[in-house]
Amino acid sequence: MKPDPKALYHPLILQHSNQPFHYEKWAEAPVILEAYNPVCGDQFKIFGQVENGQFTDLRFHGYGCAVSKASSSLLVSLLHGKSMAEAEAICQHFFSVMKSGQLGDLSPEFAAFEALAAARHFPGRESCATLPWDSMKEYLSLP
Amino acid sequence: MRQPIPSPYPAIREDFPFLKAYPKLAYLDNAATTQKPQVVLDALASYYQAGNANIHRGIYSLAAKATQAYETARDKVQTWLGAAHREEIIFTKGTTEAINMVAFSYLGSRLQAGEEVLISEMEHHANLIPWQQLCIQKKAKLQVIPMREDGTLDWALFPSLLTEKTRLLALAHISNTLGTIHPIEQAIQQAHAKGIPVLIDGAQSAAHAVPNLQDLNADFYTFSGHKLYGPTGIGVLYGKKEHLEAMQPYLYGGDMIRKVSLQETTFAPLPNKLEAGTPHIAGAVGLGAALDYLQALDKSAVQTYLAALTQYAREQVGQVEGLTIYGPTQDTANVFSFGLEGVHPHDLATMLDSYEVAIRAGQHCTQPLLEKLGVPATARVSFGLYNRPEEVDQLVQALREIKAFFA
Repeated sequence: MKPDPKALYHPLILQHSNQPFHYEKWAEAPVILEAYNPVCGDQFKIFGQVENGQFTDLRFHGYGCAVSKASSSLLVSLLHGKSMAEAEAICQHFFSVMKSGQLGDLSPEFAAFEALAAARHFPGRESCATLPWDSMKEYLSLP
Repeated sequence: MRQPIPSPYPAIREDFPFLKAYPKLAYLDNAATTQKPQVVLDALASYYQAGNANIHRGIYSLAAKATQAYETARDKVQTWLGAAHREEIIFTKGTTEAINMVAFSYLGSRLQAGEEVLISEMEHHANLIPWQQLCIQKKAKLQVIPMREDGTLDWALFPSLLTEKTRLLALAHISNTLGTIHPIEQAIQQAHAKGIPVLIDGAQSAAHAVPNLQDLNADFYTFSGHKLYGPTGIGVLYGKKEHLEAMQPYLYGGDMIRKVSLQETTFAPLPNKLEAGTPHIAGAVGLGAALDYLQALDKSAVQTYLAALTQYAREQVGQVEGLTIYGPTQDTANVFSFGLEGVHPHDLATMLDSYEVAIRAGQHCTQPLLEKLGVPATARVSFGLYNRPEEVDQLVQALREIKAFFA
């Protein structure tokens, strides 16, 4: 039995994909992260400004599928205004939901993580969900 | 009601266990790899069950039988390609290895700094990166025939790219991304007029548009067995005898020697010189069975059918709202790429998978081509001899529903 793609293209995902948060170029951004998947060509840039240990601004722009775009939008919307410690915790939440597929006792603001975790059941799509988070994880020097 | 597109072999799907295992699946990714008929699977099983022995060295009868099976496969490839000599057929892992052999063992010892290798902007990475890396090593220049907006090559520019410094032209017969059939006959004639040898990447043409290599007069031609209804891991380098004789071995070891001492070796004659080590004997036998299978079909009837099926697909798919088919509309083969407005090709492929339609999405190992086309990825459909118009209808219906879902 194949998984129903509606699990992956959940309304929370489609909403972020169709109306992405802070979706704009910012060439002069102090921090620019590349999120590039050479296998499929998905390529986003995450633009940020860090002041006093806080993401005072985050934006993103690029090209990719609905899943990678929604995931990038979600990352930007969740990390915007957060401290590095908070950002680290959110990244860890993301990867733990990706692993377990369950939101568990996490706050409902992370509900979209569960939808993204459905990508694990679709051949070749898990990397679409993790693409921007992998870049952020590297930036934050998380293990 | 659509016009009927009758298959010349209405029962052919019965020959393919894979298709019987997935009766609802529309398998439209034949440019990536084709399914295998039962006779190929039987040939592989029967080789391992009752024929397995190493070739060219055993003195017992089974070894002689294995050698004969392997060498008979070579004869079948020679016949399929219309090659003048059986030793012009070298078994390889596939197209990629075959092109690397020509790059590093033929051109590698000849190419000088400042000289040129000519390819096209539409090549599969397998016919780009070996030349690119060789040129970097030798401080030579990689020249490129540009692609025009319509997905064909700029042939007006071609003569000026064949210079006195050009040492080889490497060109696909058929684009694996857009289906463009390149006019290789004229390209070869023009290159030869300036004394330039030509390699044709036949990965997409060997199954259903195979040229007669003596008529074509290509210096090298390469293909993979698995795109021709044969096993993976086996492919062919065809080279004119004088070129292969002038080539350095690509690999050194057993089965490619005449006389060995600790300090020097005399190499075996062709084809063994270029087939060091135990080859993929079963793969060659399976490839031979695939060629027998194709030889038993009426080639021109199959070509006519595939052309009609692809034309039908282009018409039907092209009618989906917001859909763009990339590339030329004439002189194309049984593969094409498209984009659907508002739906990324990967989302499309995931959704199509749930509709039991298998297509390829991505860059198709042709990043420079996509860059020129100005799209980061495409969806691609490609047909094999077992595909049916009903599968096109299944694809088109799914495309309409997916378009509505993402709207």
